[in-house]
Amino acid sequence: MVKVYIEKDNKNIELEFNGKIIDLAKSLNVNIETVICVLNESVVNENTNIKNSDNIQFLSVISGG
Amino acid sequence: MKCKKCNNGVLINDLCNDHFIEYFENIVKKTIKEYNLIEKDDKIIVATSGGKDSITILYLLNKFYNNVEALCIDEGIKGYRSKTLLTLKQFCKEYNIKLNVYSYKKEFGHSLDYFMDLISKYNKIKKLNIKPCTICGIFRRYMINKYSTGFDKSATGHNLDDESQAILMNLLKNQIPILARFGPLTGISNENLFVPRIKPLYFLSEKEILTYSYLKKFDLFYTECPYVPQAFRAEVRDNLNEISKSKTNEIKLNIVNNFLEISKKLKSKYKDTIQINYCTICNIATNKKICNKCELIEKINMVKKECKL
Repeated sequence: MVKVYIEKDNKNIELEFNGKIIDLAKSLNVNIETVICVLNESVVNENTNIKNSDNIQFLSVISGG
Repeated sequence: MKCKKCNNGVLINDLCNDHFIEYFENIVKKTIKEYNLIEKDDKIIVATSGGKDSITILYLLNKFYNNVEALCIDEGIKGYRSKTLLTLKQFCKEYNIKLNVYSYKKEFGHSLDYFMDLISKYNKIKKLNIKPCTICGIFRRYMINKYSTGFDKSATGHNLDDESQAILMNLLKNQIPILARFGPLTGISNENLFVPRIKPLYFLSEKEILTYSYLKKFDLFYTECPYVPQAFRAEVRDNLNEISKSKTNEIKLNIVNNFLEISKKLKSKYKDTIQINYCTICNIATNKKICNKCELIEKINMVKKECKL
């Protein structure tokens, strides 16, 4: 299982996934333009492949004030 | 995929971690040089919120220059500003930067939360179209101007996203004279009435800034202001991000670069139309009879009176 955290919605999800982060983002309706991807504590490119047992966080780039 | 400058793996913009950091800092240096934002011995105050943008510009200006202080305006937003202020205090202590904090409560008697609560009560009786970002924009700008006095430059963390959104917002609202003031160096009047405002992160996106701050391991409170979703900016931002999807910075850079092409003409056209007066209430420089800050205070006092508070 891949563990996913979407910061904007403060949501944790676990799902079966093998493939690129960008495709995972699309399937979860996360606009890649608005996040950075942190894989197992390291910031990575959205074209990085992930596998089951990985931990991915989509951190929102939007801040304010 | 390999970094375009070495054999390491790509992180962002076809660059590896180290070359991205180098690229990022070079863009800031280039913006400062090209737009003549800072002189070597300038005394600089950085308006900081404790968020990624202002922490990043505070870090970089403190790295590049000798005379840098931080300024934070505490609006009094429960659960938000208290956390960012704590982050900022720790950051300034770590990098030995003097931090100056001023609050709405001390300056105007109440917090932003109090003002919004008051307006929301009043809206149940009569509609008063004042959004939190309007209050914040007016009061914060006033305080930044006031407490920047004595410095040569006042720097902010405004970035490519902020600027491309602001250009679109002013076009959509038909506010061309306001647009004329925009750019890496704010303002169109040559009179030395305000400390010049500079935006060295002008050509860097939020995504690049967050990546940089994450790589630099800045201890940040990563979240947006709770009042942001109520703003027109949020609508423009979300639409622009939808259009920009998978085109990285191309669309946002096109907006600011095309704007900068015409901005000299705009500045020269609107320069003579701005008449500087002094507010009849507080005597600060304004282009109106009563400045925006005093106008807002009058509205708030009227609301207080009608709500019997």
